[in-house]
Amino acid sequence: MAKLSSCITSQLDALFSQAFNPSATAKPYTPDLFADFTHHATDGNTNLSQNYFEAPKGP
Amino acid sequence: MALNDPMMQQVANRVMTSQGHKACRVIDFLVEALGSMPSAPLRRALILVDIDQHPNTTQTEIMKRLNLPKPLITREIDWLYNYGCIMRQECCDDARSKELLLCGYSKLSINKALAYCADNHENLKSLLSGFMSALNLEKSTLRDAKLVASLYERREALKKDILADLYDVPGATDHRAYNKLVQEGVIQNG
Repeated sequence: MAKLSSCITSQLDALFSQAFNPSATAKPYTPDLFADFTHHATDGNTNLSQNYFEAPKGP
Repeated sequence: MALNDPMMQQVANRVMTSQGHKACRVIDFLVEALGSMPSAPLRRALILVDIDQHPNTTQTEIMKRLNLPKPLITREIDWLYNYGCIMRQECCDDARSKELLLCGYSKLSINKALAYCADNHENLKSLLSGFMSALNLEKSTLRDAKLVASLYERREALKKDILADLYDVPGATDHRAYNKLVQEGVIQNG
């Protein structure tokens, strides 16, 4: 028989309670999911706005 | 008859189903919204929900809100456009930008998914981001989420029963997804 790890089960308990509770409103989404990806993409520089969202500074 | 009434349907969604079952239904509707492709990454679903939450948004705005790199978001938006999930229209303020909005089957399916989340986009985004965090895979898919939600609902089950809850695709794909979750320690075989 297969079952979920207890760690995942407790995470899902909290997650589903939040998502399906009609009186609960999740906090606005704040991304921290791509930290690993962006870490590699920026070669150690974690100042994302500098890398992705700002035009390069001119001379 | 009564369940054709949207209000009754919403009450039924809240009362008649367990949380695991609700999660399975939401994932099913997200699969529908993304061209019936269970291999779609969860982040693509997240982008779709974000566009629905902010109609007439632009790619740059999505990038800022979700903090995604440009190549990734460009690829995902092209995919959504090519599969008829979103429309692009000229932006009034900036001729270089295109405004994006959901359309057709994607809009209908997202609305059905939202009905389980109190019609709250943030709740649905929180569910998707929570799945991504919990699974902690390089590229978690809707199939991965369905596997986990299905097993959450059943508590314990045989592998064949869990796979039977999945979608009509070649079985090897489902087996690979299941085995990956076992390798990562998400699923434990007793």
